[in-house]
Amino acid sequence: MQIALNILSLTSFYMCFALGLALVFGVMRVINFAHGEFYMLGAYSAFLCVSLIGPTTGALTAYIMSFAAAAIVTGLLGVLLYLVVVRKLMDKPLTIFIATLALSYMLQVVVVELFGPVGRSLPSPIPGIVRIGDAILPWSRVFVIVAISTLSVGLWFLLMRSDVGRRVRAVAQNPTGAVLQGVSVTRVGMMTLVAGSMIAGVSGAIMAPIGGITPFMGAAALWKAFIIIIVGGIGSIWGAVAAAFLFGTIDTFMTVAGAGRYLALTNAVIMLGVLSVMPSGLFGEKE
Amino acid sequence: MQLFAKLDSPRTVVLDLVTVLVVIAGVSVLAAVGSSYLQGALVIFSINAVLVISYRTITTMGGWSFAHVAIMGVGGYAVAVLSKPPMDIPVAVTFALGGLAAGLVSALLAYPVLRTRQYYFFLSTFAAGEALRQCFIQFRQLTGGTSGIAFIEYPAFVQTGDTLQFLALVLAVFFLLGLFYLMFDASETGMKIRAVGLDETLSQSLGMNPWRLRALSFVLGSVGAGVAGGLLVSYNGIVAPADFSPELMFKIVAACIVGGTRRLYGPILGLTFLTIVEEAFRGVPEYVPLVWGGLVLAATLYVPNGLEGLVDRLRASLVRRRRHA
Repeated sequence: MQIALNILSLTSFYMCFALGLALVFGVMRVINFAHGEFYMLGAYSAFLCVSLIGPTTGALTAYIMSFAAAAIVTGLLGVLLYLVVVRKLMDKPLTIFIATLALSYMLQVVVVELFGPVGRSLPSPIPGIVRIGDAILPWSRVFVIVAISTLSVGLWFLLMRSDVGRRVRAVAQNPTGAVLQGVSVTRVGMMTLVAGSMIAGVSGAIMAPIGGITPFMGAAALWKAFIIIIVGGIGSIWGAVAAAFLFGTIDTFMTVAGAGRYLALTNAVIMLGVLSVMPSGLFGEKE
Repeated sequence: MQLFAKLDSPRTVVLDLVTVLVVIAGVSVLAAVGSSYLQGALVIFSINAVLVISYRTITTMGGWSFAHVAIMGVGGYAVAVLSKPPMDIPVAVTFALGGLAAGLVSALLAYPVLRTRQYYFFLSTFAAGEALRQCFIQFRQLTGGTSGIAFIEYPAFVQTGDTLQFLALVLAVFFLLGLFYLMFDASETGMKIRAVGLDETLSQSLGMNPWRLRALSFVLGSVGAGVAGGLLVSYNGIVAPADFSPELMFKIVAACIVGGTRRLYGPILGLTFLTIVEEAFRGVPEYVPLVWGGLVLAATLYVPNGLEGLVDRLRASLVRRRRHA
């Protein structure tokens, strides 16, 4: 039972990180390397929000409000990123990758200068633990699982059940066809990038009390997200969810078995193995 | 054949050779007149120069690997492990073994990684490189974990502590590898590899084996990286995972973006430029990534083919002016 809960917790963590990346890539074929830094900025927004308005409103309210703050900050950055970089370089995937890589270093330096290189920690706004049978789980983790599940289900509804979502899917499947049907590819592209950035920011804010906050937290988590979206099939959001669950399970079992130090190696071998057999990932479409 | 017509004339090989010689001459002159600090910086610059020319060989096949620095780390760790007891192999020999080890690891990586293209390739090499780096940290018995392995010596024929002699060794390696890479680039195989980089389907239909050619350039480029890693480790006297950071990878890629990769002088020019910037901000090293990031961002937005592209444009405008006169 404890193991099942841990798997759930780890999966939701991997999912929140990979989701925005998979969305942006799936629709626009753009890899945002600064995604990790958006995540980190989300966490710092949460930190600022809780320490500034927390004393007056109470920690929990401030924590919830910080999601909005994180979404605004990263959403604005997403708009900027689209207007300055992505729009100009739309047909050059490598250049976008490098440009966002450059951006990610710049953001890291800015945050180090503003907040210092040493990490901050955010006391959990929801203290205490919950017992389910003989398993225990901190409430804060329960909250993370619920929040991220809500985020994912919300995204699913937006994509599958709304008019906007239909347009987004149309662009992802066939940009030319979408244009012929009167869908503005640029508008959809900008919207997706902003949505992906906001997901990164909100995830950062949600995770802030659990993981600790450092200027380098985004970069540290990014390679895992890359492995997840490669194995899941780049661009397939549901593939990313499945791969997050796969790695959540594998990593939990390995940690339980005391082999936590071989995680990176195992993950990489799994990725390389999947690539050898299915170059476009488990659920990816052939290109 | 039309595809080959897009590639360059043999004249450019001379240009590449000149580039290699100019770098060696420039570094030697600076080292002769400079302070000991400058000499140290020149050693690092020359090692990075080996790294960028080996990296350029990989990019000719059309894929930008992000595992290059991690593979360089394989070479570095090979030198560290093999030159210490119980192996006790002479350091000079381990440089070659380090190159071989890097080539071997890259050959193992090549099969899965080269099945991917474009974004998939960046992502999978990035993830593979990062996983390799995690291995350096996690396999403590072999690699010493985060603190690494210390007390690695200079090769026997270089006097310990003599930076100038070590610099001469690095330059010799740079010359040999540079010669090798430019000859490879100009050979029929190199030409085929560039053809594959330009248009894979067309090359295949002309009877080339794209997979084998791409794997070849990936492995050969990685061998150079492994040798560079060995040199760096021997010069520093210590190897640690932090030496093979994503920042160094960024520097190498940035050098190729800022400089361009069509000719050998492009990445070297880019590297020189970035190194000068880095040294100019020596007092505030924490700002260096910010400045590099800004430069790369500006280069990608405003100078699409890098400094090489600028040179080409300049030359074109000169030619035009001469014609009008």
